[in-house]
Amino acid sequence: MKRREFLKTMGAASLFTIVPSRVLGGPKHVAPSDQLTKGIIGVGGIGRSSYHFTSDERCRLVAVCDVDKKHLEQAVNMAKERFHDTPVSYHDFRDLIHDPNVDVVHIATPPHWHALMSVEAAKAGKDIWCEKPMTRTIGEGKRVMEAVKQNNRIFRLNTWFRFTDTFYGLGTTVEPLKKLVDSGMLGWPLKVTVSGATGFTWKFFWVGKENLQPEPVPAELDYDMWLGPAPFKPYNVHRTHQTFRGYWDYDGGGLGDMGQHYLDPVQYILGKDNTSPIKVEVDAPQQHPDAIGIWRKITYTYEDGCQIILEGEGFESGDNVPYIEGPKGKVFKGFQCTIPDVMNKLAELPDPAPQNTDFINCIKTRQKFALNEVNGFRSSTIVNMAVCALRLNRTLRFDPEKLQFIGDDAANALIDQPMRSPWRL
Amino acid sequence: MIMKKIQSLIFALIIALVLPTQAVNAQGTRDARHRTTATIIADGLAQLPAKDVTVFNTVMNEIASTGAAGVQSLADMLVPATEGKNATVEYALAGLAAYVTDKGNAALRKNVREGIKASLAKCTDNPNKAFLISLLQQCGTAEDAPVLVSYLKDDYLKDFAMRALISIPGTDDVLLKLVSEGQNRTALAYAVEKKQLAAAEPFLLLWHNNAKGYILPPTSNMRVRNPENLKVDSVQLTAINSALAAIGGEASLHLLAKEAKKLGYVGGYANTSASYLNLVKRLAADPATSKLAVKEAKSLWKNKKLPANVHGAAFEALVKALGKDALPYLYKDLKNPDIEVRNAALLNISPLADDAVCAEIAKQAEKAGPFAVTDVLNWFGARKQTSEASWVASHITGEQTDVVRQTAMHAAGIIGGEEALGALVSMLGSRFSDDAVASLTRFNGKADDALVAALSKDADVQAAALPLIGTRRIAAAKGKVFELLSSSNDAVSNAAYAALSGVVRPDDFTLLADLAEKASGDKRTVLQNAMKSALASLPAAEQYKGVSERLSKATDKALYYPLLAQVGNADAINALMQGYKGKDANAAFDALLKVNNPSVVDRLFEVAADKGRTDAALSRALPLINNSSFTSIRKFRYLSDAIGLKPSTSVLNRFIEALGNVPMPSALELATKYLDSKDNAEAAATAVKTIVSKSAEPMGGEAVKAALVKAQDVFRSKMASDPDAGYAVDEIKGMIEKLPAEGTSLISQLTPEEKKEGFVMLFDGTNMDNWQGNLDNYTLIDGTIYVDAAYGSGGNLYTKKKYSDFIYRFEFQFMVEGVNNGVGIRTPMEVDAAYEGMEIQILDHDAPIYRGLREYQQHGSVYGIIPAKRVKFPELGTWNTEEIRAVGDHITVTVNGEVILDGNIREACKGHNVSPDGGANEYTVDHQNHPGLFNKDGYISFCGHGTGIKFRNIRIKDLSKSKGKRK
Repeated sequence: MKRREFLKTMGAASLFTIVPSRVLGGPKHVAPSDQLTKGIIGVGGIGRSSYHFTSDERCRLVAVCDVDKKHLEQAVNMAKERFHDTPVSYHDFRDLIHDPNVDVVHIATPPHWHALMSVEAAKAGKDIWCEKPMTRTIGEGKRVMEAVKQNNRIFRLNTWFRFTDTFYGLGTTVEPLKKLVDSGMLGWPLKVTVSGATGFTWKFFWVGKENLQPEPVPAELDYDMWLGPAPFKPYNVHRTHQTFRGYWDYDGGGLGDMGQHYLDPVQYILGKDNTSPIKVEVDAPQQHPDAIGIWRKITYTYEDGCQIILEGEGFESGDNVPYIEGPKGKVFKGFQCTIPDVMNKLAELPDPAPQNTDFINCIKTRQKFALNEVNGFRSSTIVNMAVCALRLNRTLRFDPEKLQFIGDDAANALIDQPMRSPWRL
Repeated sequence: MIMKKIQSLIFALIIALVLPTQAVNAQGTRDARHRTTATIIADGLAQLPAKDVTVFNTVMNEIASTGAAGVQSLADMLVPATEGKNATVEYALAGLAAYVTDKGNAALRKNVREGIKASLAKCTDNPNKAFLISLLQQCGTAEDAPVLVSYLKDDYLKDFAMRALISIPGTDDVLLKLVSEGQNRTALAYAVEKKQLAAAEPFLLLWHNNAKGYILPPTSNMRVRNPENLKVDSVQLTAINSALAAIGGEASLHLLAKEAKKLGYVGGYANTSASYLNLVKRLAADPATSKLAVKEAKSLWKNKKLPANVHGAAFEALVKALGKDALPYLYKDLKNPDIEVRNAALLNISPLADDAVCAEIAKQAEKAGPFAVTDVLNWFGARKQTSEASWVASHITGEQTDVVRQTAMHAAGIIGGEEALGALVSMLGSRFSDDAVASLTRFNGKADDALVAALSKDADVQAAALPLIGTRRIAAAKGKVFELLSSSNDAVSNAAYAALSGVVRPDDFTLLADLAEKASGDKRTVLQNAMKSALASLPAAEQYKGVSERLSKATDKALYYPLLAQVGNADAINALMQGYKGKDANAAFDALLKVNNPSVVDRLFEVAADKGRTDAALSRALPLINNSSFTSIRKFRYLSDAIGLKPSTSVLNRFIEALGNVPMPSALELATKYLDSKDNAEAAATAVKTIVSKSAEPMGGEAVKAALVKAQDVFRSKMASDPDAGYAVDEIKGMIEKLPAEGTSLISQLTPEEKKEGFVMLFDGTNMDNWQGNLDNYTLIDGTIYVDAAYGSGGNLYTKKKYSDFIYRFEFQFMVEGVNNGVGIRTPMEVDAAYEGMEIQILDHDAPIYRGLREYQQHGSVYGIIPAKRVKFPELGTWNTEEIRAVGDHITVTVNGEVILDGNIREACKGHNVSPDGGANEYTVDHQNHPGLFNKDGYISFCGHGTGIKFRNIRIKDLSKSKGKRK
């Protein structure tokens, strides 16, 4: 019996989602069959950061992959130093995905690769940890959602504020906000403002550069493989490592990169995990076709009248802007709320439904992770809708069921962008 | 920089374009404004990138309206990247391509398409050609297909052309024709898949046969190690197989079935297995082909050697084809030892699982055993399957494996229901108490009564239920909780104390205080919290009343300090300050740090001066300052004072960084001082960057530039360890490029007219040399006199010299609503100018708090003597100009250019500035006596000390010397 099959079959006898470790035989006890293995694709800035570059008794790092030889070398050395372990190194992500020793594929590449790699991993029967943003188009997100479902995989989209940590500059975790909204004390519909004034920065330094000059490709980089499905454009260092965020071909600037971090919790708070806004309006200077620029304001409207307002450069309201505003009350940064004695009122209500936040346990028990391919797709869609509206510089209307813009072929062409041959999805 | 770029572009246009095209346009293709095409395009480019959608629509409409020739001339301006800058032209072209795809602009689409194609035909630079093709991809139509097809022979461009053919609607026939010709197979197979071209199937099958055995050489070390583990060895086969899955029928199914079988239905080779499974599922969903697909799916499903995801795909196909008739397969899957198989089956049946199906699944799971029961419990929980609430609850009690029991408890909390509630409560105090508490905390429904009832059970249950009672604030349990305080069981008694906070209300305060005054140790703390909680719902003043009554009589005053912190009003803060000076200084100090009211900030600064308190007091003050509605100047003063108190490095850095929140020149100056200090440089650099980028009035000049350059150096040195530092370097680079050569001047100067007339500067923004009195609250900051009376001691500001007749000019700005100040004239020092001299009122009289204001109190009035005409002030933060002319008894006040008061003080009170009998004065409008009204001379003052007003540019012309001449 192969190692992985052994794990699944035996695992069923002893593991399930909410079992605390005490049931499993005390802390620090890990039978070899319980240990999962992972491979990281993309060991640049994010893939090598301390939060992701891990190897422990629950999940051991066994493989790394990068198209930049320097990154790969640095990662292997780092693993030797930190974990006293030498992971297998791959140049081609498909080799890592199909490596039978890898259980979990951890995708930390630029976003234009996320969909292809997720789908390939799903088809190979691997479980997936994918960094945000989930995908750079709505169409790619849909493909990931389908592939994960069809192959019954566990997929974690990695942003976490819907279930843990103080939410950026907002000065509160998301749970009490969810409880407050669910309680109905604010009324309905709600307006959420994501702005410097409510504690979020849109990182407008993540803009691209125009008039890029062609440069020689560094010897360590396989640029063709770095581009992958993206249109070929002459190499310039600013397109790649870390600064790739400023180009539409690979990401969506501060909005694309931070958007899902900031908006996924909003979607959760508003209870919109299974739907999307029906309209997106943008107020922005015209965008360059290659290099991403700034924007002032983006307004989303849901069918029931709920709105999400993103305030960007030069448009930040003063500190008196609530994070959430409803007809009956408002809540500001630091959970300052216009409803008197709100914390005590909330204490009387049941806590929000539990979320499955232990990825390893989710894999072992085959339960969906708290932020998965379905709700993750919806929150990446919020971001990607605005990307389309910014690029076309007009208001767009969206059908949340059909996942299509209404009456706008050019916008729909941005939803489903053909890939550079021979990449396909 | 942008302007410069545009200008040079316009210049290029004039040379390259205007001359030749003018000849053409002489025929009469000028627009309504008689502009030639070249001018329209040049005008348009000068506005790009369009600053907003209105400009965008106007510019794009105008350029697109110049016709195909105009658009072509624009596109012809693209040059190879190494020879010039294309960005503005790219903005224009991409803007056009987007603009004409908007339905309302369809009429102009042809101009843009034709113009792009004409330019494309002439263009010789590959990246530019690729860009033009990508524009056609966006705005092209089927009519453009032949042009795109012509580029399929070009190695560089074929990929761009094929993607355009895929994106453009209506190109099916063109693509099918290409398929029949058989070139570009990989790309075409992808096009067939994307466009769903079923007619291509026979060709693809043929290609598949030809491609067979075509295997790319290994490209990685992995395959060398593991040669049997083949992956995408054939790029072309991958594309063909995927397309067949999307469009194929029976023939494709046979082919892919054969191929997939050879591979054991697994692996990434040519996407064969996945394509086969997709095809099976697609055909299963279509009644016309489902029979065939079901046969394949059943044989897959029976194959025990397949991995779970393949087995799951087979079941999914069966569900698609058979609907609920596929349920028997699910029941068998529930017995499968592989957890993935069981869950895949449950997931796939989900859309069809109505209540009856769920009931049957529950029954089958029981038969299958505890693993299946566990999975189904989880599945019911995730679905909130209320119809199965009883079944779920039935697994909480009785004989169960631990795993089943715990899963049931988890699911029961989500699903809710009376049986679940009873079962969960019954587990309190058991080995599974923690799980029961977790589920009850978020129980979907009202659990109060059941929990109160649990308090009457045995001690283990009581101890487990009490924390829930406390968290959920179940007031109905109050009596029972108080009763259990004296339980003989320590665990119960302690839990009851801890639960008090949740159940007490204001009328329990006295009882709690009685208990607290007798308690010690942990109990004392618990009771303190309970007292806080009891009072929390009352307004601060009422809370204070209750607390202060106990406090005054208490021997252990520190007991009440945390309560005072919660009250947080001025009285409470004063009481804590008093405590701070007493024997429980530490407790009072800790409480001060917990007050959540910006008015405590001044007190925190007071105690910050004490040894050992600095860091803690300032750390607490910082968020209060940042989140307060204080004016930015007041915030700056706090920050600068805090920095002056020399806190530890980490606290100091937080204050330096906070200077970024008050983007003003003084803050920049202060932050700059720390750029050279190793320990503070990063905080200072962050502050400098933020201040310059956020400043409302653009900063500029050499000093600002030097600060930015230094800050940039600081970030540059951090780049190796912090990726974001690289962005800061880039961001500062952009700021330096945009920096104005000169900053806004903070120094006021006399106008040439004023100079000629003999005005002199009393305050030009650089010094307070002409002033005396309260220089603490009237401070020089950023070229203004800023009044902040809530800080330090009181008193007014006076000129150093005395004046009798004069013209006094100044500017003032209200920073917060409702500011009250005044200009005292002909007044002695340290008296009330309104009576002992004259006060020309300064008041933000539009603020709602002044609704009942008398006319003679309005802004500009000679206070109590002559009412001024009511000024409508511009919004807060705007500078207002004012002139006060005082000549003998004649006073004239002009605000923002409008005379609002022009009158004679002696006539206004008929000469009776003081009533004949010294009592109420019937001659003055305020019925007060104004003994100083007719003073010959005196100081000019700013009187009043409401915070939030700034003055600048103060000048005076002394008329006393020229009085004779004037009359």
